[in-house]
Amino acid sequence: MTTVGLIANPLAGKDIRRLVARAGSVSDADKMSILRQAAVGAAESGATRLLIAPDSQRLAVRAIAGLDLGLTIEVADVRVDGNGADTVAAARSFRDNGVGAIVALGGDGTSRDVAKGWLAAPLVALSTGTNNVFPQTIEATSAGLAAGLLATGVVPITSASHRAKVLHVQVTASSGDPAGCLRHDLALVDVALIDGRFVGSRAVWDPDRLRRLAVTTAEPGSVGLSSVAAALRPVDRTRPGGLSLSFGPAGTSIRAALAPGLFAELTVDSIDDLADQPITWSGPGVLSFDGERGMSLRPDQSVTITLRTDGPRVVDVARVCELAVEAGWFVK
Amino acid sequence: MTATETAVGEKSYVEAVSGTIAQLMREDDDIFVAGEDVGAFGGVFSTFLGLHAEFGDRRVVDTPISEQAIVGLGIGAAVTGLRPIVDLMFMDFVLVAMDQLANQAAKLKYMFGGEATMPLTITTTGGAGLSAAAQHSQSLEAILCHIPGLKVVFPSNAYDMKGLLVSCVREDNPTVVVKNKLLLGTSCPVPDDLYAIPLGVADVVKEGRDVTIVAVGRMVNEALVAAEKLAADGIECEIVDPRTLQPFDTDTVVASAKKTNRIVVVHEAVQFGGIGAEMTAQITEGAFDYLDAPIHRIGAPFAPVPFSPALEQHYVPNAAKIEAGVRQVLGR
Amino acid sequence: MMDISDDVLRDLHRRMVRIRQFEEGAGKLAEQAKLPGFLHLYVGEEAVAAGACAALTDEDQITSTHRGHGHLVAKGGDFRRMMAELMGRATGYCKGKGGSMHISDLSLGMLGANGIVGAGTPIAVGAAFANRYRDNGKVALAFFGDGATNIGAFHEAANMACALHLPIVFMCENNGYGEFTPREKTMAITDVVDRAAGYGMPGVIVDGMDAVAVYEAAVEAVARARAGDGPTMIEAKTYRYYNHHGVQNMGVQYRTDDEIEAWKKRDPISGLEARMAELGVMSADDATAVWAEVEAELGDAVQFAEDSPFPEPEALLSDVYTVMEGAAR
Ligand SMILES: Cc1ncc(C[n+]2csc(CCOP(=O)(O)OP(=O)(O)O)c2C)c(N)n1
Ligand SMILES: [Mg+2]
Repeated sequence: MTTVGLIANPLAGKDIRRLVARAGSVSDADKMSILRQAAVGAAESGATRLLIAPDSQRLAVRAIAGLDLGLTIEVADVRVDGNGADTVAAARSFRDNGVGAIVALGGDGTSRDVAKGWLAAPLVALSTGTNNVFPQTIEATSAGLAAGLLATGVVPITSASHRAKVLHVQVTASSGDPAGCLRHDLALVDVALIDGRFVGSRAVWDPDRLRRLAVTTAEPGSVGLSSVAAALRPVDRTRPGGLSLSFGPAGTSIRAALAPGLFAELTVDSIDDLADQPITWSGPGVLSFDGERGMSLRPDQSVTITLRTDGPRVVDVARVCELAVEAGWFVK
Repeated sequence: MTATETAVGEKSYVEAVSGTIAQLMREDDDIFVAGEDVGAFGGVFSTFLGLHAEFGDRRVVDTPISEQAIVGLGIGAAVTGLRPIVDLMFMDFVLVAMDQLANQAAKLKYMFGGEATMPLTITTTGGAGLSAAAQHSQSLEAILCHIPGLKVVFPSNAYDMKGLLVSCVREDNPTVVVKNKLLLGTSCPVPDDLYAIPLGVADVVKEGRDVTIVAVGRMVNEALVAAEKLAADGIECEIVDPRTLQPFDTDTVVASAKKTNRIVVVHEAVQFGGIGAEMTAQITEGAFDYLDAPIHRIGAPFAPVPFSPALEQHYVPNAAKIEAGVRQVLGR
Repeated sequence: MMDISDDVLRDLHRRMVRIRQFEEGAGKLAEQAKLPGFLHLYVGEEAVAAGACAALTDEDQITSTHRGHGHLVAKGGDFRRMMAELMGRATGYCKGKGGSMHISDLSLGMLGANGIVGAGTPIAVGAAFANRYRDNGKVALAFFGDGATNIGAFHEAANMACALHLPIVFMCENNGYGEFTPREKTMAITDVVDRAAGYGMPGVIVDGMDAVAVYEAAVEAVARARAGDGPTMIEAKTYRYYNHHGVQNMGVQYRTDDEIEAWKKRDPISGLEARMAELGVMSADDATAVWAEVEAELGDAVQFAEDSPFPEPEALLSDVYTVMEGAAR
């Protein structure tokens, strides 16, 4: 059996950044048509099974219903709570059930949840979220096809993917003793420490409250917290190493697109390369992961952040298709 | 009531609705039911209980909260050949659907030069007495009777409910069946088999020689109570229940007026412009020379239905008011 | 991303506790058959009314629904007059004429609970129009349920507000049900906010069990409206603990006890209290004191209502019209 996994995050693309910035919205109807395209692409590849995540809004289930795809369709047997944990659980179940490649719809946060469930997931991330540094704009039909070509082994994954960098986050009591780790987490693009006390509406958009930032990627032209680092020292997603920044009253002033349609001025106090050496920040504040406030940190707590290149195997869809052409796959 | 060979059992007003609809649906696949909460829940007044279990989603349809579209659904389905029963939960919500009711359902046939048939039954529940306040207590039958093209029935007991409902559903014109909240739990002997009470035929509920009480809907029951009290004083009341308000059985009412020469007209709706005003006019036209006293009308005062029981008890007409009215027209 | 001050936190907390206590109190009275008529309790949804109303000034207006007590309490409603109204007394907000489903306080900009689903939204549009007409800087906010977005009045109101670019916020309380029917039976979409784009306004989803999240979004939406940037829709995902009306809790046919339990675990009040304690903004004792204060307020209100007279029968005919000096009656 050759299996493609399909996940859609129903929550993506609908948060407060439509108000505080100028983000667009992605309706469920849009997401479902993208899912259909990806499913058809996967079926076209010759994959024999589609394993779909049972998201809280049943987007994938509803999208696939009634499609005559000629492959087996199964719904992953995981609990659905209507939050990010659903994606984590689905990815884990994909890993345990022989999925060859995943197509995931959402923003940076969705890819992060996939990685939390299956760190080395073979992943085609389609952007239907608000901030999309990690997922890229790809035709969904081709995304499904590419995932399928990997699953069926027409194209070997090693020849058309790179390992994503990951910021591994450990929250500890202030002693910094890893034995006292309270929580593990990770981010694929950025982790930030922000002034404030509440996760609230999750998004991050106020430049004045940014204190620390760590990024895996700093690509000029992108949008979100990582674009702040990119304004000073670009880092490609496929190269090793990241950056660590701190903000303060004095330093280099830059302007960056913090959210879609929202530029802000920030003062970067320091910027350092981030290699395999862990860095430590201490509370209080709120930690954001890939642009979303995720947990609050008490004054007596600190975080240790370690960069490693052990994340999802990010599929280069165009490259997969090229290799399939070379293999003569399209000629029937 | 005619003698029948079929079994007769005590049935409630509510059962007379749900049971009769079930019987009609078994006979005719063109009949379906649609309305808010009418499916598995069985309607908020339980008047559709059991239908969904027997007939399923295809024929018992939970609709969105969309009164205009509920009536429109009935109109469109009726004019293309089905025989819909649609429910407007509270009679007050008739006003939300008024365009579809009055401008569409009522007039299509006429506007189309007689081409359309509209076998549509609309059920709704009216009446005060439950502290449901101004938007959940109204009796709006007169407004419906004013619209040429609609037929309106208002059964005062379970037996009439069954017979009138059968006629309405089998009728090829749009009909409105008014249920009354305080009658829902009342019961009386009702034959098991289907039977029809023709539309436009009044029922002389009780014969008497001194005075005619023309009572609408639940007021028939109040009139019976009043009549019993008056009988103790040797006053013999005749009680006429029009049962159908549109078309109105002028002949029966006028004949009774000619017999007793004194008339009390009573309904729960606001007296001004109520159906009683029309009845009074018709009696005057048909039996002016026979009247020994001005016709006495009883209805609600000219105010919305109040919430507080302290006010509502003075608002809704009752046996005491009817008794007083009778004494007034008799001068004793 | 404003910094939520301690004062705002305490304010959100107090608003929610007042709603919870009022509603639980009303529920108890209903069980003792002391409240006539329908009772649609707001328990579970407190974060929405509290978060939204805390983002408004006293002068801004709201329109409400059949589930309206929470909205009035959040806008600053007086327990005494509310309780008296629920008991049908002459001292109530509506002199006993309106009851639970029509409770209102125009002086607080609360333009009425409403017995007709969806009917409040066009009225909020009118208030927003008047605000702009007078250029008074006020904003109107319409509360409505998920079910209400299926009725024509809502759609007409949303479209008109956008066409006229009015200072209004559409605040949807999506609790997953309209009466006893789950949302998925009556809509082919899950997120009401998907409708916003169809009218040309931004729409966002917030966690309706988190007063801070609702407040953050409401502040932004209200600021947009006040700045002349037009309407916004906010969809708060929330849940009512009790039955559609009345005080039945567990054991209903149309939703599972597990579902109810799962939502209760995310209780908006205990969640905020825990966080405030952690932050040192409110100790357990402080919280207890708030509950006790509100309980006293409630006890006083119930006593006041029970001691209040019922309206006189003559009141039946007054207030149908505004009586104008010198006009024919
Ligand atoms: C026009 C209209 N139709 C139907 C009703 C009956 N009704 C009262 S509340 C309600 C459900 C409303 O659902 P929603 O808007 O989601 O609000 P919720 O009760 O969930 O807070 C219905 C159908 C009504 N009051 N008005
Ligand atoms: Mg609802």
